[in-house]
Amino acid sequence: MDAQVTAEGSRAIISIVGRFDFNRHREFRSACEKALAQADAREIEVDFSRVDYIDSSALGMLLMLRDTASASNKTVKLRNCLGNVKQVLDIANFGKLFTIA
Amino acid sequence: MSLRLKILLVDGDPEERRLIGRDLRDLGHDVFEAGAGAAAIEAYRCERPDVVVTDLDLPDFNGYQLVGEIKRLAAPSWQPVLLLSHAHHDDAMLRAMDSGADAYFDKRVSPLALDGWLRAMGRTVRLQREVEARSQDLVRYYDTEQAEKRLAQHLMARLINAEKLNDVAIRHWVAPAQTMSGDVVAAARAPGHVLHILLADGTGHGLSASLNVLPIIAPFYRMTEKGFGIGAIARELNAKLHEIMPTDRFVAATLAAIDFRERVVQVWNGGNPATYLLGRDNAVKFVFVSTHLPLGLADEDHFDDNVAFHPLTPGCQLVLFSDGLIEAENEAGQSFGEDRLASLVVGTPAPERLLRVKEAVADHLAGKSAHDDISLVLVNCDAGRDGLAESRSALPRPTMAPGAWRFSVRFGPVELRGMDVVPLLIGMLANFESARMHTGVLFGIISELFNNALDHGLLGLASALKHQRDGMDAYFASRANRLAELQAGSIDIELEHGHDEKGEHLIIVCRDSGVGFDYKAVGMDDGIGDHAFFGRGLKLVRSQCRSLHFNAAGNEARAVFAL
Repeated sequence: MDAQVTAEGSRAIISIVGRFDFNRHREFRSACEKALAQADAREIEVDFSRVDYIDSSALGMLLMLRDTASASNKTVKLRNCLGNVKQVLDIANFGKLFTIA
Repeated sequence: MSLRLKILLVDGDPEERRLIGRDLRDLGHDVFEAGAGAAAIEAYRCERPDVVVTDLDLPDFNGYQLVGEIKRLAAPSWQPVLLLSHAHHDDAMLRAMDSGADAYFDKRVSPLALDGWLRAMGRTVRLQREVEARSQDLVRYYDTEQAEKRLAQHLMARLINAEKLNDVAIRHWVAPAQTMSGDVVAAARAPGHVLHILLADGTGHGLSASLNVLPIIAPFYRMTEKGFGIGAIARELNAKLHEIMPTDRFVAATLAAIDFRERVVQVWNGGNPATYLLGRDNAVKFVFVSTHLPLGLADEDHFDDNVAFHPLTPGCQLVLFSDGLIEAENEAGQSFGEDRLASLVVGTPAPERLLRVKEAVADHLAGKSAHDDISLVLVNCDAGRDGLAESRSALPRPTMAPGAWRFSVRFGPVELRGMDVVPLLIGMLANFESARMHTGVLFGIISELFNNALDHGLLGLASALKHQRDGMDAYFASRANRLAELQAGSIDIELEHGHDEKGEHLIIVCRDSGVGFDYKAVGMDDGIGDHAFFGRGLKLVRSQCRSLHFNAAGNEARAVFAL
């Protein structure tokens, strides 16, 4: 299933399902564009509740999102990070760059 | 709009050929004619028509044979062929289809029906042309990619010093997921009996992943050779990648330094799985987890060059690996897992560990290829001791007349906090012909004298603390605190080249502004007793130098080293 973008007040939420790796590049980028286009969204949340795998290419995509978001004064939050996903984010110490919940 | 087709028309009867040819031309196609099978094959080779229309009865061989021959010539492309016959039988039609023909018509077919069939063929021919053009593009891309991979492989092979990886202390395994690996393992001996290991894992796989890693290889070797610590090296590698790589590209890296003389291992881990230190009893002594961002992400101001350290015990082994090892997935989608790896290395004696892990991963994958690069490095922390005494007799003696030179440098609190003093001095020494070949040993000697002056002379740390159980942490912590708070004081280092009846020598004087130590009070007469106060370090310096003396105050060391 493709990445979904939903609005919740001042937040835009990007939800990904399944493996989040290099093959999702195009899809994630268009989801990011959609989320960034929501002018009233101050915060962009990436929801990992249904992600079971994340690789280093995906980490790179998150960094790109963080860059473009901060250029338009938006923050990026990673939410519902559990199990493998949490482990990969922890090893990369992404907590130093993102709010992880 | 029907496609204008290039048609090869084959018929032994000139009049019938003329009539059908006229119909085909009237429909807007280009027609080439042949009067027999052999001529048709020749024309086919030269013209490569879009469609072949042939009579079943030819003077030399029958139409079925011609269809078969043309289909063979066209392979792997699809070549539409229409068979025409005077006598229409279902049997003949079936045989025509079996021979490979795409249609079988009575020769009295109306031009309209012929046009309908050719329009349908035209659509398929157009589709085939597009597919072929695309597959040619793909072949070109593939060839280009292969050429680029070969180039990158060549560069990587040149940049990585494989010989240094053949170090007695190291056993390693790197298995790329594609022909190019984004994982890099490099090793080099630093001056002063320190072994540096780099395990780097670039974002992604294949060529683009190795491109990420290429820029850090040369600086790793260069800085190791000059004697920089792994914290400083990590800082430089990070700065390099941060400067040149795009935002989404980074390199997970572990830098390890095994100091065979001080018996301590240091690790800087940014983004790689934990590095294990295993004891002789095959139990885990320490786990160096990733505490930093991967290389290339932090800017200069936010980079953290703190390294974790742990004392070495006899027989211990350091185990480093990339995430490709624990994430290696089998057919059922199960990953190899860190738990499996941990129980495997813990339960296996050091000499068999590499092989056992390789076997276990192969069993797990059961023929499936891993989706990420796998690397594993085992470092025997004892092995380097044999290489400790550098063979000085093996080095060629300089034949030129000795020069005479001297320099001295003063380091104040700011320099002591912010500079890597010893590499700086070694870098200067390396410019002098007579000292160049001894920089390895001199690094150890100057480090020892300098650290002695800094730790005990200026910072007032008690050496005994370091040798207590768990004292290493406390020692380094209070060293860092006191250094940060250091307001006054300095260390002078003088290096002077001399020559006397015993030959060339280097006089090393290291003086600190501290109060010195009262060695008489600790029971030594010449300042170089066997008292524990000095530890291994100064004893080693004395063994490597012609002489080592302290002044009466105990704040100036003077060593004479034979060049």
